[in-house]
Amino acid sequence: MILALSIACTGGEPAEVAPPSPLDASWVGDVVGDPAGFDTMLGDHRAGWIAYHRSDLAEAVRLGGPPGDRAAHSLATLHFDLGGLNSAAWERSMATWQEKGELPKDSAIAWFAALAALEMGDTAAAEIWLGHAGQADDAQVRAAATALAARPELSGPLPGALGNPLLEQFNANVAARSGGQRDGLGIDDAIWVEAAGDHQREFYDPLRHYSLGAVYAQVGLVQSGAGAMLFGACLEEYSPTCHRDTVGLLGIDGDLSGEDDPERARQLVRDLDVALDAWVAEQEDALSDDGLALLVDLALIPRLRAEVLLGLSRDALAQDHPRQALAMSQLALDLERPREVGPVNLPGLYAVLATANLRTGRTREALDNLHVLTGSPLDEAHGVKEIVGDLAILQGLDRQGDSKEN
Amino acid sequence: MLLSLMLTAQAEGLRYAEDQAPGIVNPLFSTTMSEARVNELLFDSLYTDDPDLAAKPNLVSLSELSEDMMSLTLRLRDDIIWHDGEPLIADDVVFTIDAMRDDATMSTEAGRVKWIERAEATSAQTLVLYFVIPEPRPEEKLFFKILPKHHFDSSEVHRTHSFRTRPVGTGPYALTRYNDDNSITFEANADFRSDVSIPELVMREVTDKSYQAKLLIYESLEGLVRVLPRDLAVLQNNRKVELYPYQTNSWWYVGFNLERAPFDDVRVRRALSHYVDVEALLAPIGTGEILSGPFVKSSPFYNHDTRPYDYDEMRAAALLEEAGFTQSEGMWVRGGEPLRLTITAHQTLESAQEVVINLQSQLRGAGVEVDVEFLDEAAWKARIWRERDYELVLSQWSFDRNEDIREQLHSEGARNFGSYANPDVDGLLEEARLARDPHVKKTALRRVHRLAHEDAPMIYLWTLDSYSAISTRVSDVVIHPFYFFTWIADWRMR
Repeated sequence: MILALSIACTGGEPAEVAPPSPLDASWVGDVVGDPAGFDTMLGDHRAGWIAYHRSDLAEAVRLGGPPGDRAAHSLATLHFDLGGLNSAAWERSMATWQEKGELPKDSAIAWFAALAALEMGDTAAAEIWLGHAGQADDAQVRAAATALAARPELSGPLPGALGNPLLEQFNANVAARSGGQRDGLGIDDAIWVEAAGDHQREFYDPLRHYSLGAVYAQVGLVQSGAGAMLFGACLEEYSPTCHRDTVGLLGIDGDLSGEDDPERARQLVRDLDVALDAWVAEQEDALSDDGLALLVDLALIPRLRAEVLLGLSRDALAQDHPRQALAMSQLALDLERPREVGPVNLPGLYAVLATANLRTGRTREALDNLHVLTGSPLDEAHGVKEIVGDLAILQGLDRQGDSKEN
Repeated sequence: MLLSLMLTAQAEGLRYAEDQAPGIVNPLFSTTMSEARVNELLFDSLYTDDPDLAAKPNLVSLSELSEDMMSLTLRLRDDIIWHDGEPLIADDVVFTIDAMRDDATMSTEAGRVKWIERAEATSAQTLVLYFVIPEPRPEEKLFFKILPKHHFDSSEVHRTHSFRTRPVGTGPYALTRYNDDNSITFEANADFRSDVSIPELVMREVTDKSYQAKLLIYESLEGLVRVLPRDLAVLQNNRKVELYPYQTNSWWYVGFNLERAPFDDVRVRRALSHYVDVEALLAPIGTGEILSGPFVKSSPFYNHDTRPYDYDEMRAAALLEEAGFTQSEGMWVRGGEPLRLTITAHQTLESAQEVVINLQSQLRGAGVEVDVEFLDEAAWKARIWRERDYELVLSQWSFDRNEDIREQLHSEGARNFGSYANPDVDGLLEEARLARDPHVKKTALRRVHRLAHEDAPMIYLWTLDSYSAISTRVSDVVIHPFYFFTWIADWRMR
């Protein structure tokens, strides 16, 4: 940060004074500059904000109010991330399985592959899978495939669902997307279990996460004031893409277009750290003890940093730059407890990490990220973890494993 | 030593720390991760991972799989030169396979070529591999390191062969000297098939993890292979260092020698499992996850229905009584003999001393006499791997992404030095290995997990949060999840 020299009025001595930072007037500056006002900011939703701050999003939603709405939107984005990852894993798994061997005929797998394809908007692939499912041994699979083949889309309920768990779950997804109710979706557990010789296959609902995303996205969001800004990526005003504005306001070149060069992403994070560290250093003399305590104890700057890097990582994935996304999301994590969701380790980071790992061939590493989500209070991503695990197994089928000590 | 290391000026090259220097630099006998990492610098394999972890030809220019998938013809690249200036030829590959297969060699890597029936060179640059059963994608298994035939007299290679200190490979770096301070210097291979940007690497053996972190912070090192979890936060807050996830498929265990009484009795093994407060052992090291079997929790093979043995003194006592032990003056005895055991650990295993001492304290408190011993690398390989002369070991296994535990738990596994044998586990491991359906493979291995928990050939401890730390002076760093240095040629110094 460039420091400007100015003459301080007190004592007539020259002093070095930093120019105003955009952080001064941000939610971070507001909180630490007026600790007493922070209580007012939390208002009647203190418990909700506490839950939102520790990334217990489901609890924040349950408690309602502005933090609940913010949490709902975070959950919507998270589930859309997981839905995209799930669909990609299904597509790759089916392709890899077909490349390395024959798909089982005594299975409902084609039905689930059809749903995943439909979710990705690949109707042609969905129809092919439904053709396979229509010839399955199991009557319920055949019935479901026939019903969906007649109208291969996710917009309305299918007939004949009573007693057919596949169609019942399909219709629960349709209801969730249109009516905003998640109850019919049940918990994140296997919805179909079938024998595979002495073993078994379990399948999870591939539509679940987009449906949950749709449910949570229907919640309205306050777009101004503390309710919109607190613990988020925005500095001046709310916008869904304000992480980019924040980088710009801090004087950092956030352009990661061109090649998927992770070194540029790492440099961006280093520049961001320089800017944030400089501001924190200035606050150490300027803030009251209470203000400093809030800054440190609530990890406000690491939280802002994580929100910004999460946004940038998602942008990188959208630009098909998974290596940059991987670099930034890895650097965003608080490694004091890297396997725990928390104020800095946002649930979305793990979904983005998993997606970036999958898209760079690190399928097994994606499981490390998803494992955090299944173990978090959110208790989601079990089905995604299973299909990503299947893909990891398929990719390694012909590999010779290696192991060593230490 | 710390002072002298710290006083070393910033180097043009990259200096990285290992807890232990490689005991032997010969891929035929590699057992440790530090050896695997050095192998990655010095040697090449026929195929390797591309940056997306897909197999790509490395020493091979052409390959042709026979229609029946029973043989593979390989043509080697003609521009590969050994560090001593000799060209790579097909005989080198044939020799390597023969040496690994030769029973007299006793290669720790023998399992990696069991699927090859024989190898024949058909010209200077061409060879044919014949398989035991059809192999649809043999290239996925051709990742073992190739050795120069002209440095050996026959396929029977002994661990003591001078090659172990004067290795010659075709990799991006050549070993140029062993230094007085236990470090090893590697110089970039000018004949490597692509430019190697960093001219020199130095591997320093620094057994104390805290010192490693300090050396990195004071810029006397540019890389730490593995950071202790308790040091992660400090290093993360240092802006001259960046952390990279590495080697996450690793777990610690206390392994029983099942050929030694009373550890041949599952009741005794389970009792000792119940006597160990794993959480208390883990706490001083840092954060990690406690395990109930031979996989890490994020693995598709981990059986989440199998819980770790609880710390339960009552249950432990009941099991020991079932096994014929009684308590006398606070100690467990059977036939007049106290229940006494020796825990053996490698002297450079990170934090092993803390863990062993705490474990000793816990078991003594439960009425078990416990001795401890720490072995150096040579003694460890001799006593544990070859002679199986131990009662309990504290160690750690690291796996690549395939998490193939066959070598550890199959009755014929090359790394099963505890002599664990369960026909059901053997059968399931075979089934898992042959399965083409991922659901079959994962449910088979989840059953193995449960059985390997119930049989308790080991007390499964934990997986640690596992990261490498690299100075920001090094750019373009991409770390292989297992072999670490696979793409070292692309790394640069700023």
